[in-house]
Amino acid sequence: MIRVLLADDQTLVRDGLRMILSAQDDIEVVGEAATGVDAVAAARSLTPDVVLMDIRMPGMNGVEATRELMHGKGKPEACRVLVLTTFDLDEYVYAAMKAGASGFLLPSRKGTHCLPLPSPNV
Amino acid sequence: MQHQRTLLDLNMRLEREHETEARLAVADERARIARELHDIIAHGVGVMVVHAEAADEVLGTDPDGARESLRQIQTSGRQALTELRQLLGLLRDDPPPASLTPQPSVAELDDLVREVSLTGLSTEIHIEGERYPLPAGLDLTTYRIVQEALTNAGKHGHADTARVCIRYRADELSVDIDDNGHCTDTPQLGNGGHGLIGMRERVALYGGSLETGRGEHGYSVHVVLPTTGAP
Repeated sequence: MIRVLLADDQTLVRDGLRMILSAQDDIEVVGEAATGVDAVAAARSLTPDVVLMDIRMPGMNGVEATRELMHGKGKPEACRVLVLTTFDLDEYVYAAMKAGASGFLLPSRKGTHCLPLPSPNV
Repeated sequence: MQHQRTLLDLNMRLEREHETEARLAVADERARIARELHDIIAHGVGVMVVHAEAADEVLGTDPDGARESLRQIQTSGRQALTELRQLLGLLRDDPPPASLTPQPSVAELDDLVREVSLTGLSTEIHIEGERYPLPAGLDLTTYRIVQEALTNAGKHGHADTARVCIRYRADELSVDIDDNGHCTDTPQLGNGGHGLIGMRERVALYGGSLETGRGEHGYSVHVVLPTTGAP
């Protein structure tokens, strides 16, 4: 089972994503968060395999939350961040990559496939 | 005579500069508003895609959930169309560069309030004090501040009522916009600085003051613009 945490300030988007993910046999949605701060806290306590992180959230945005989660204290073991964004804008790709995200989900790509990012260490 | 001539020239030059300044300000504001609307529309379409996929995914196993998603697609689609119409209006309104089309001013605020009310933010406007003519730039700035505050009220504050009050005082104009929405920090990312920054810059340009924050019922914007000494 792949354990997923949904972080998006829009209830509508979370609802839709939860429906899609819950319909998969090998995915379990373990929690939801509506802000960057909540996302970090939830990821630390629930230790999901994947955090689906919206890039735009009030207070702490998705890039900052990713950085805090991946480089802050108490990084959950083996937790990966996939960033949700409407467009694959270069500045966001770069910022998320630097922050430690593993990939992107873009609604403009069929099946919201993950777009792997090059390693930030290259 | 010579002195008078120089003064006249200077005045004309100043006027031209103000004209250019006002035009640039308008272009700038338009571009920014267009970008914001574009963002909202893109987001709405994103929601439609996610829910279309969700409906497709659960059609057989959860028909009620699928129907809920289909309804969501309708709602988001309608909203996106409304916003698209606004965006097109904004772009179509763009005046040819050489024209001397009057820029929006305090006089056009009634129209603005009517338009905004149609989009679901029920707004009333009060003008107090004896109206007097404002310099074009200041007039435009006042209009933009109200426009910006009302846009934010609906978009970020999710307000459904707002009140605009403009007071003409002897040497200053005070502008208050109060709504019943949330008083939240808005997400800012990359160059997406919106509303408040532009407002603050604009107000500073005219030596005025801007206060924003929690109001009596929701969010409140209070602006004072000096009107003396302006050309």
